[in-house]
Amino acid sequence: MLHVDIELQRGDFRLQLAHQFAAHKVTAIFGPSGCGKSTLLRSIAGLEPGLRGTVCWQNNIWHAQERIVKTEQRGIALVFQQPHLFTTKTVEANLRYGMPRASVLKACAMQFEDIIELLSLQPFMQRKPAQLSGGQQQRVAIARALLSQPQLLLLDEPMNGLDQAAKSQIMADLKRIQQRFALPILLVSHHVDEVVQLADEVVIMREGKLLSTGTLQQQVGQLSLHDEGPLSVLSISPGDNNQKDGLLAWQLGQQTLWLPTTGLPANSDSKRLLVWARDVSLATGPLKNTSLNNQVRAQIVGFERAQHDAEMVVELAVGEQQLRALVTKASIERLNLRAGYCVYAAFKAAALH
Amino acid sequence: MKRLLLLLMLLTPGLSAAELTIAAASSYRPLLNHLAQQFEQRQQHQVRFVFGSSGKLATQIIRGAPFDLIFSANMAYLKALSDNDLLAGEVVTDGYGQLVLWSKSEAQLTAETDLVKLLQQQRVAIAQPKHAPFGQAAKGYLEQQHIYHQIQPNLVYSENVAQAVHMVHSGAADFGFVALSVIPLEQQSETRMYRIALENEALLRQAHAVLKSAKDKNLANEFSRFVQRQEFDEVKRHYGIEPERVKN
Amino acid sequence: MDSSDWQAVTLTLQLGGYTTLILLVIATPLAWWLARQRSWLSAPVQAIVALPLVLPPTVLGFYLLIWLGPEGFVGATLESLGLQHLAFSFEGILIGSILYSLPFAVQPLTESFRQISQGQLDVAATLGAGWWRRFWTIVVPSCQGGFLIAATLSFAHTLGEFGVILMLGGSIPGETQVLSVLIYDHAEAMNYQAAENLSLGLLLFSFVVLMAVYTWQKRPTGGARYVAR
Repeated sequence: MLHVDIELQRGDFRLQLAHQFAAHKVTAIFGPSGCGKSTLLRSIAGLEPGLRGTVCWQNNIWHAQERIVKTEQRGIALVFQQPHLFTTKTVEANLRYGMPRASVLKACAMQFEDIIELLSLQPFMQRKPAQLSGGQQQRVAIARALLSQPQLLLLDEPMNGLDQAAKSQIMADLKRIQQRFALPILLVSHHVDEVVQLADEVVIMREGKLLSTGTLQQQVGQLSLHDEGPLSVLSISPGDNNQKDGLLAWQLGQQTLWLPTTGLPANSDSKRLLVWARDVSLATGPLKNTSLNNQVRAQIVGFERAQHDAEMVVELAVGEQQLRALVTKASIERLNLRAGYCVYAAFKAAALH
Repeated sequence: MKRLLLLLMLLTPGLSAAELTIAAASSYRPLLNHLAQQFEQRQQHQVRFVFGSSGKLATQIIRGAPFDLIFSANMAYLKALSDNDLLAGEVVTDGYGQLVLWSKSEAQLTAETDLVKLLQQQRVAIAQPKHAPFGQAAKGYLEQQHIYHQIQPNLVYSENVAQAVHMVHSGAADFGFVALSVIPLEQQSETRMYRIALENEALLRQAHAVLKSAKDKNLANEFSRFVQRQEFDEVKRHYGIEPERVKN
Repeated sequence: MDSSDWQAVTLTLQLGGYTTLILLVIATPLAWWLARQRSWLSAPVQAIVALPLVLPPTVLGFYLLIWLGPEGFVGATLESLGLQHLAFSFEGILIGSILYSLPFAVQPLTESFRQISQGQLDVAATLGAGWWRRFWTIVVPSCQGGFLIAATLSFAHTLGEFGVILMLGGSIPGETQVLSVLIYDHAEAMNYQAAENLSLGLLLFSFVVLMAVYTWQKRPTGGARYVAR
């Protein structure tokens, strides 16, 4: 358990927040730029001078009025937006920088060879950081952080500025790491897809304060930062490994979805699908002559007001999961949609992340 | 370079075993070098010199410089030291300096030479009259001859009399009012210089005194007595300091 | 070259060596503070550090002579403790050299400390590196160019020092008579051959030292991006 109750003044900006973070999960700290997410993370790491309040990890006081544990003694690792690799050292020297002594390392969870293999760093070991791409550098930074055997991993938008391919790879890596080592992670992000893919719990921040917290499913309604509108998250599991025309079969409850293979980590157990409500269309019967690849049977649970007066958010149940669709009021009238009715929800595979 | 620095650290600052440290006006340099050599040979003692202008040396002594004796070309500074209670004994007169007009090339200089005409369009080196005794004497002589204002535009000033010699020697100046004692022996040809007879010889009195800061007063006094020996009168004259005129 | 010349050479190298070593120790924390802290004190401290660049050396020498001499507050304090005052001594000119070369050590170091990435230092701290380890593993390797320039300039500048030493140290052979003062003395004694030999030696030595530094800096792997201005 990470207990945080802090206050920090930086010019006009004020961070004031109290929360207990779960100690064995991935907690995403989500909010727009400048809301204090990174400052919160740096405060937990002990990198913000002038911090007031308390920070406690498990049974240890890290920060209190009478006692401040130095950053280097907290047993944490922080991966920043920039990889900040040590430019004068090789990749290997970077990786070994925070590693415990060999005798101590033996008993540790994250072994050198394992981490290198996990993050596919073997080819770069003798290179200097300047010779690596942005994604490679960030993977080295993550490996370096893990090899210091942290009891808590802090990630400050580690995928910022990376292209989609590098981002997907790092997200898959992080997921594997978390599953394998059960390492508690605090992830700062303002990208919905990162949060959806990685988080178990979500802390939403606005202007230095905590807006709401809860599990990912509870917080899905709050995850829209701009005007992308509402979204839903579906858990899917691999199907019978049926591959067809570059598409892969996935199970959503009893129903099958066909998703492009690109951008998906191979042989992952289960995956979360981020579906924007504006990308979902409804029909009263199965669609035949359509380019849409995916349609699922769903039951209407209810209606919610949308941002635009002409539209409504339709709440649907797909098996035990929740799906939202954004449709015009005119369509609802025309199709005579009512709570309890069964419909077909269709969405483009390409719209999936 | 690091290794070199480490090596340096191992060496302690090498202080020589010199037992007498003497501050002396530049005009004394050739004479004192000669006398010190004699002294070292006969007495088995080391002597080291710090040469400079009398004023600078006096200031350094007032500020605590660790000298044993001072040889000064200017009585005013010896008086200042005495007023500051820094002298351990009497002021001893060594002799009188000889002011000369020295030319960089051959020139027939006599008492009849028209200096105004001779020095026209020429650069004339002179030690700064404000604090250098030979400069002061030269200025006094020109004023007494009523030609100072005609010659003043041609004057170039040096910090001390040795530098004035240097200027002429290097050709930077055509003539110089300098001390005979500072001109290198091999260049002291009568055809290149004119000895100026001063009305007030006391101006160029050369004298020394033992300092209170002397570490070994006996040794300092010994050197003082040594340079006063009659046997060195000829040597003094040779180096441009006239001991005969002591009685005035 | 007679023995007194060699004595001056040794003395000069010693003065340069000690000055450089002491300056690196003093200038490093000072430069660090100047580079990393924003305090109202920074400007006055920077101005004081830079003073030797613009002041005539004789002014610095004059004040030091007064302060370190038997009547100055430093010299008088030392004497009241039963010690020697510092004017006209090796220790005295060492203090003079340190002050006189201070900007040549502080400025390159400040400049190179400013280039250090705070991110790398923060990362090192989160990886468990304490202050001392961060200094040796991050600061020193990324600032080796700055350290080298600071050391070289301090050393070379001390070799060329004249006014302060003449004022504060006089010209006592074996104690304060360094090369530059000895050359001046040789010239004044019209000992031109000796002056010329020493001058040429000093010129060549300084050139070789500076060239070595600039050659090292140009190395692609030198890691030194700082160029002395």
